[in-house]
Amino acid sequence: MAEIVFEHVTKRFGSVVALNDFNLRIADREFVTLVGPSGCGKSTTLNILAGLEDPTEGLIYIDGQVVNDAPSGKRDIAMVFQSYALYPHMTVRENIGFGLKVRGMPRDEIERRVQEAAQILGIETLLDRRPRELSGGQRQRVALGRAITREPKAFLLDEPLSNLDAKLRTQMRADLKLLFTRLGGTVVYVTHDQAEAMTLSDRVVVMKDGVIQQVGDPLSLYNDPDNMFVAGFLGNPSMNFFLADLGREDGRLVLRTGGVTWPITLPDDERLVSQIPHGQVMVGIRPEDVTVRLPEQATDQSSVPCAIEVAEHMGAVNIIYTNVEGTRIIATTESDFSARSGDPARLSLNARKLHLFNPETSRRIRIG
Amino acid sequence: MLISYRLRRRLSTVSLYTTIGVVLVAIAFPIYWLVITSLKIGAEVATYPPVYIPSRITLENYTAVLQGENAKFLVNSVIIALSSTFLTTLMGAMAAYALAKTYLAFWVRRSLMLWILVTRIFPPITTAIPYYVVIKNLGLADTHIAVIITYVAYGLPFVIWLMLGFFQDLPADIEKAAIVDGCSMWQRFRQVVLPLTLPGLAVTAIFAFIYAWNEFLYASILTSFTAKTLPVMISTFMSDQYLRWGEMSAMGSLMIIPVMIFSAATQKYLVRGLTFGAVKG
Repeated sequence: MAEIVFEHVTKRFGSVVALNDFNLRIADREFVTLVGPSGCGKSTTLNILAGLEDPTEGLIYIDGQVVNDAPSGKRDIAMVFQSYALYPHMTVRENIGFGLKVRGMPRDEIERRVQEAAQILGIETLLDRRPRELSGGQRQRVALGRAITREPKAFLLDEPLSNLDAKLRTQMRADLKLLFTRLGGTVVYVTHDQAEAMTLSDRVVVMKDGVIQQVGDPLSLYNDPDNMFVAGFLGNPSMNFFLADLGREDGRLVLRTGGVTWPITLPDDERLVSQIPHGQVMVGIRPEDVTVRLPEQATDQSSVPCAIEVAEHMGAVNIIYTNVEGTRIIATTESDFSARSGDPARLSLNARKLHLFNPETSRRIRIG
Repeated sequence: MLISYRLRRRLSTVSLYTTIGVVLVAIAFPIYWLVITSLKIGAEVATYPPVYIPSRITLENYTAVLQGENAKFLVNSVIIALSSTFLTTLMGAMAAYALAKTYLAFWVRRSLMLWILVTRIFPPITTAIPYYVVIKNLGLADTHIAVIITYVAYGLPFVIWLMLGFFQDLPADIEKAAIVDGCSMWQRFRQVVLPLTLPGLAVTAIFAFIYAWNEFLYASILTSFTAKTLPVMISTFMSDQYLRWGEMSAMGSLMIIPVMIFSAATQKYLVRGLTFGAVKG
């Protein structure tokens, strides 16, 4: 197993910068997820690590060795592709053993390792089939099998679950977590799905336009995002954002949008105010930190009136789309909250979970 | 409305089958005429009005053409067609793979592809005489090698153009997987790329074979006896003294057989869908 280091890695395709000064240290046996929208450079990063592409600048280390000039096959890494990329003309057994065969491993050792991998993945009965005779989930397992028989220094997974249907994806996500906990390998996982990033990883790297936005463990990224992009990308439904004017009332700071005075106050802190340009601030609050009540239940005087636009009943929770004088705020509520679209309601915000951002730079403004 | 719809459907079915029938006749009749002429007695070969169904079947044309040196020309044809097909397909596939997978600017690849095609743009006859002189000076006149080299040179552009498309259609991830699995370029080509492009190779091989088997112009210029091929031999049935239709068509009928065998043998690889199941679900 291995430690992986990216040092000032930049990749340009012509004039397009796919990856810009990427620096990352991945510890031995760590599960790191690169997450971001398409075109953010996460797959390019993986391809560069795999040796499928050369970086324009910068160094890549595996176990302390610079591997920039090492061909892919010599880096001792295994990769799982979104399309699975199984060899269609080979049986499952041949697919799983191919990497070992290419390396000239003796036949009985290959067979032993193939059997072992097949057993771990529960595909022993499929070994003599060809990829086209398998379901998506089975192909996925064969692709994993091909990676784990190699016993590589690191596993690289490029959107491995994206081609599965939603139910299977959730199931495979748990299986993957179990598998890699058991194997204990260094894993670099690429996905655009924030749920996979949050659930699987020891650390998450959020990327956008070839630049790292933030690195950290899933919960700290979720609770303490550095900028609006990270805040909005993680979490589903995503964080509510609205632009508010800063005002003063009775020695406290208040936030107003149009005619609405939001039911929150902030300490009149000089340092905080100095960070807010032109008296305007972007407020972010997660749907679970928004409380919606029917007017008769809202005893809390600090709430504001709102109209319910859409109520989505998900079973375990409800997702309520509300309208506060033109600003849409999404809230998640308990499933027993029953409301219909058009109903009036009152809304309050959990001030302790409020995030403030500079509307010009979208960087986080930390309170206190 | 219903009746007219039915009628229309019936009419369209009738016209469809009529068209198929006409096309089939246009394709099959020359072959029928060739075979039937080879089986006719001399008096019925070139008559007016033509004899469509012979009164008597005879094999004398076949016994005539299968005598003497003719077997040697058959062997020549087989050697030349098979070796040039093998070499053209192999070299063409390798060249096409290199072109498909090397990072080249768009205009560079485009120019290379056009340049490769240049040899097929002018009519072969325009270079026939200087080409013969070159071959003769190399001491290769009337050798199998001379003919094989020529056919490979003429077949390559076609194979490269055709195979390029097949290689470009190959899912990139499969090759990436092979790279990560530790394959060298050659292992990748041999063990992953070629098996997956077999349908394309089969198509190109069939065309290369038919071209080499039937080529007349260069064979007639480059060979006189030792390396003479069947098409050249057939032409000797024509002279200012005689036109031996019966023997010509007997030889022609025999010449169709290897092409049919070769096509049938490669046909199973023509079935597309080998790559289905490789990528996605």
